[in-house]
Amino acid sequence: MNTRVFLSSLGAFLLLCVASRKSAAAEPQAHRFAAELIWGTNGGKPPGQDLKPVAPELQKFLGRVFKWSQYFRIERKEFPVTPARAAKVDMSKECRLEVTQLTADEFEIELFGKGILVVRKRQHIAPGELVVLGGDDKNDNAWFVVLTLAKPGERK
Amino acid sequence: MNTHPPAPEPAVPDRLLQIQAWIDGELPPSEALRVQTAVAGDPSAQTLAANLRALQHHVRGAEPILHVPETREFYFSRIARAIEQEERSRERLRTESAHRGMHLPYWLRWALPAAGLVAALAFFLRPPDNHPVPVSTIAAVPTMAGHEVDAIAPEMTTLTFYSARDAATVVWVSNADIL
Amino acid sequence: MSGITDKAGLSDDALVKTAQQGDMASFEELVARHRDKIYARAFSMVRKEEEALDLSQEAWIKAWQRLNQFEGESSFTTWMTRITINLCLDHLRRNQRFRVEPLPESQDDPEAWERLLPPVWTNPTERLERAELRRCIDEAMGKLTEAHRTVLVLHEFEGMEYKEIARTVGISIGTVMSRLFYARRKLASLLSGLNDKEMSP
Repeated sequence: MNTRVFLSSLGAFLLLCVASRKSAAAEPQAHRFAAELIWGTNGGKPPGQDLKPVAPELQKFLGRVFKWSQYFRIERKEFPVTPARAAKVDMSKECRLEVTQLTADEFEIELFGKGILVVRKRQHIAPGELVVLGGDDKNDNAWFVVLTLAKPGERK
Repeated sequence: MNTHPPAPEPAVPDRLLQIQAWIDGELPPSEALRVQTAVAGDPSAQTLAANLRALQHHVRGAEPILHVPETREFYFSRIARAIEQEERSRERLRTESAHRGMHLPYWLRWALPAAGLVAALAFFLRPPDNHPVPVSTIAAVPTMAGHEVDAIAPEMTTLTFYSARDAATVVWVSNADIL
Repeated sequence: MSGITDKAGLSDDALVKTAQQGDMASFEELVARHRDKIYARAFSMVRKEEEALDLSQEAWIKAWQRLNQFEGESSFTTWMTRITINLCLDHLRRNQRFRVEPLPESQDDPEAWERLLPPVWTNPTERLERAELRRCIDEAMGKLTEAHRTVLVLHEFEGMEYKEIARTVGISIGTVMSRLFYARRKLASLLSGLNDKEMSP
């Protein structure tokens, strides 16, 4: 084999190894979020809708902070967020959640209702922490969007 | 809102105010005895005194029992937040007044900006870097350390609080329709 | 919530002492313990739920700022209530809600003054449950002007003497006495209207 060709190939191969190693090292780890759209009420489950109560720990927390006695899950979604890619999650037909990573542990959360930005919040979030957005719904009920950042290695 | 000055109240006859003061225990002993004697000899005064006593008894026993229409955490969160904001603005004022008191030497007032300009020029005119900046260095949006920025639609208001016990941040938005 | 449970067993004095050293958890316990009373006092003066809520919270904020000035000369609740009352009075003044009702024509006749204070039931518990009586009186209090209701609340609920009311509200003792008389007259009139309804078939 021609020495020059061999050395060129070896050089190309080494370059390839270095490039792929660098890109692997630079690939940021995705943060895994879970978001729940919840309906709070004192009037029981609405007829004709198959809504499940939220998990007991969440029920306990919400019930302690807010005045409603029952909390039903309308939707739950899990999604990744990376620095390169924000998450845009439709929680319902009218409700969209967007989460953008700003720094290693700071995120921007935007909630849209019927196409209108309802709230934008920049927040340091540690794994296992909750961010709860809430507001009044008709007939003295309430809506909540509960966002949780999964702990590393945790699977739900 | 009523913008007219209040109408002057016609004077209540002194005799009646004395009976009221006697019922309320506001008269010195000698005066109280005098009024008591006068009331004993006057049926209409006795009626008035009896009615005042009865009314006093009913009103004092009827103080409304009310409960704050918010949970403990919710109610306290606004208080805590306002206290925190007040303390932060006091701290800011203290820092600002401390800085106003600092007097730099004349030569330093020129040297510092000049040094800054040299440093900036050195940074921007440096030879190109052969090593790319790692992708993991993120500084997409400048934020102040510890400062939260909330932005909402103009007709809405928010109330935010943090519960260390539950490791949870709560943002309550009024006048928001998302369902 | 172990922090809150620990504080629940402490007296107000103990909580105030630690709160004065900056312990927010102690202050939170004081708020939790007395918030209903402070809110009720604010409501009795301004008669609007939202305003009473805001004013009561403002009172707690002021209390935190002035806590080191509290030396135990009165109970903590008395001290807190005074702060609340002053805030409510400032609020009412700012909103110029101190107005006075015109009186009926017969005010010139001295004897008519006595007739203006109709009889109140002497034994209402025979006719009304306690809660219903409380509701009636509360409703009647809501119909008084702010100026009249204020002196009535300070005298009957806070137990203030005339001169203390005068100092707090910024009026003369004579005006305190007149306003108290008018307030009682109006209240009795409203309640006796109810009395008549109860007595009629």
